[in-house]
Amino acid sequence: MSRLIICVLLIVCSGCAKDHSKPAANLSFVSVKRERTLYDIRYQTDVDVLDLFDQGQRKGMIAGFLTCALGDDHDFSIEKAMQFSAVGLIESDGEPRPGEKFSYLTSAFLVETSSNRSSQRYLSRLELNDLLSNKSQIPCKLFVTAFGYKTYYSNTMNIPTAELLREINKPE
Amino acid sequence: MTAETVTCAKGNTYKLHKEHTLTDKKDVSAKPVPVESTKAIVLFIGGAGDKESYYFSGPYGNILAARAAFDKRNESLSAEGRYRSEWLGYNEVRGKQDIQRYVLSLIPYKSCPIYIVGHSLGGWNGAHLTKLMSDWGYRMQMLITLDPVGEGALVWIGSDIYRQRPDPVAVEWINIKATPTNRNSSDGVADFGEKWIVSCGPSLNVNVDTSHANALELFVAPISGGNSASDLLMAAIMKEFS
Repeated sequence: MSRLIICVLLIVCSGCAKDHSKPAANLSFVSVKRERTLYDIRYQTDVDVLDLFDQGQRKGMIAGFLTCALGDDHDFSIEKAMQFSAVGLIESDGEPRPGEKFSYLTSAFLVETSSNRSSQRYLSRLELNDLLSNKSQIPCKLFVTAFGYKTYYSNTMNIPTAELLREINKPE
Repeated sequence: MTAETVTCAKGNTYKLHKEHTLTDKKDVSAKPVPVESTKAIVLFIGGAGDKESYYFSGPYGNILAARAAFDKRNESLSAEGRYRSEWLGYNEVRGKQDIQRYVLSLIPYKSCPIYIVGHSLGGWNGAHLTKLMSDWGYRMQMLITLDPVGEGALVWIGSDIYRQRPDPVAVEWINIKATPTNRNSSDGVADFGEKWIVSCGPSLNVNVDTSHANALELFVAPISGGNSASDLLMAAIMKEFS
């Protein structure tokens, strides 16, 4: 009986999972720079993705990530494991001036993720060159989660592979 | 030494017998023995709706955000192969079979220091995990419970968690309770699951003004002399290598 009650309650609550009122953000790539094993990806958006509820930065949200697909799997949904990706948290990169876009920075690891999403392993320079050699650009999306809301996804941003390879292959 | 396997023309396989090369008994010189360097293993254990959806709610990646922030701080150690983190669901650390598969298989040797950061139901099951692993001879260095939940009978019936209250075993235990000024619906859900009100046991037992769902904020908010749980975990790991 208790199990039935909990299931009914949660199913009812799940119907309340709301859509975000903000439109899917358009992202524009600014730069990428390697700092040791991390890659600092800078980009701008037309929506303040760290303030989707107009309550202040990070208020009401749980997690915000930028993910770039390094392989041929381009399924960005949070439930799925993308095997080869660049991934990191969304951080603010300075206050926007009036009329300007919002600037963000993601310090991303370039990793292979296990199928159960538990483990990550850094990709070597050789592996990265192999993965990216036949691509002109890689697609990226950001997502933000908030309790009681459906996951917010941005539109796709493309990063020129040449810029990423330049950083991958630059001397230590 | 592993024996070499050969296949004959008829398709049968045979193992070749091999022998170790023994040191001459007259050779008394010191021999170098390879010793694996210390490696810190941090398990980030999420609660309901963190890694997988929970009755159609989520996944939200609550503790994944905390893990990502901490991985960034440990970039150098990770590059040296001295740090490893895992993102696990609360239901992946309950029962011997799951613990063997998702936890013990990661640990190279029993004296390897293990650090556990558990949120919500992950804090409850993570606390149980410290006791079990300690009993099995593993070295549980630190436990951080972020607003642990699991006291309620209803949540026990509907979730893969231990029924009895945990009795954690770790060198250090930090417990953080979410006490938000502005509550959101996740706080109601945590109340429904019944928070584990920890009155004694932790070396640090504090409150943080944020909602239950915000595992990252619980992890990085200052709690002791301006230091966060993340800072204290980092210090504990660095102490291991000093």
